[in-house]
Amino acid sequence: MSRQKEEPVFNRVEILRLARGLTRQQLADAVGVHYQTIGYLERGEYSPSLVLALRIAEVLEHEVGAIFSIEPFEERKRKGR
Amino acid sequence: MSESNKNRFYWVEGVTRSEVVRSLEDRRPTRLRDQSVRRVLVIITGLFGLVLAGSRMISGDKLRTYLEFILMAGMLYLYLTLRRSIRHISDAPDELLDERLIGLRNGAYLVAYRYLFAVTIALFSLGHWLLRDLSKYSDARPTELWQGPIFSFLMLAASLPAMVLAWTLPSEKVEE
Repeated sequence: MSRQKEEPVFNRVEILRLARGLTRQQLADAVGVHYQTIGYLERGEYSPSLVLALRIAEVLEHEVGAIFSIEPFEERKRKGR
Repeated sequence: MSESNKNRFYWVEGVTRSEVVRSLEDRRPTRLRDQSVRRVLVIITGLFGLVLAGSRMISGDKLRTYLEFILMAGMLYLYLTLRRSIRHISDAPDELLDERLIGLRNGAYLVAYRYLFAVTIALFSLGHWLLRDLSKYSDARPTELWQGPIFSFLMLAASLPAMVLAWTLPSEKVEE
């Protein structure tokens, strides 16, 4: 079976992090990753594992589905989801 | 964390906990974070390896010994610099890396293993060629001609994962 091209994962980590007044370093420390990983994640250059996504959701106090999505958030909003 | 734990030496990886942690957390601007600089280092390391492989062809024991010493010291210095340039990711144990960094490191080892096959073929072909065709031009014994490719192989085998990461990692962006 050939490996399919990785689907992009959209996220609202930066918006929610800033809303909580956290720096990337603070969020990174809270979820146990390198500070650059948060940067890669926010720019959409890295898709987190389920465990990391759950940890981020816990720190940002939102459901995972409200932070990460496989379709752009604008599109979701338009569809009323 | 106790002092001995902070300075724990990982024998298999050849790094200390403190040097990896310091390297990962280092935010000082350095030219080593630039991909083009890292790529130049990779090219120079490869060239050093190539010259080292053929160094036994040089006539004159004294000159050859000096050259080999310089090449080996140079490769060691380049290897250590390459490790620093990629924040020791290639040699760090799992427990000091996060999931993204572990993925990068493991990917680099996979690519490095494939390149190692090509490097092995190239160096053994070179060794064979040196023995068969060029040994008559050298005052070294035929078995000595193998020493260059073998030294080069050992140094490149150790450096390859760091070389792959240094080549592929993009220039670091300034984070807040």
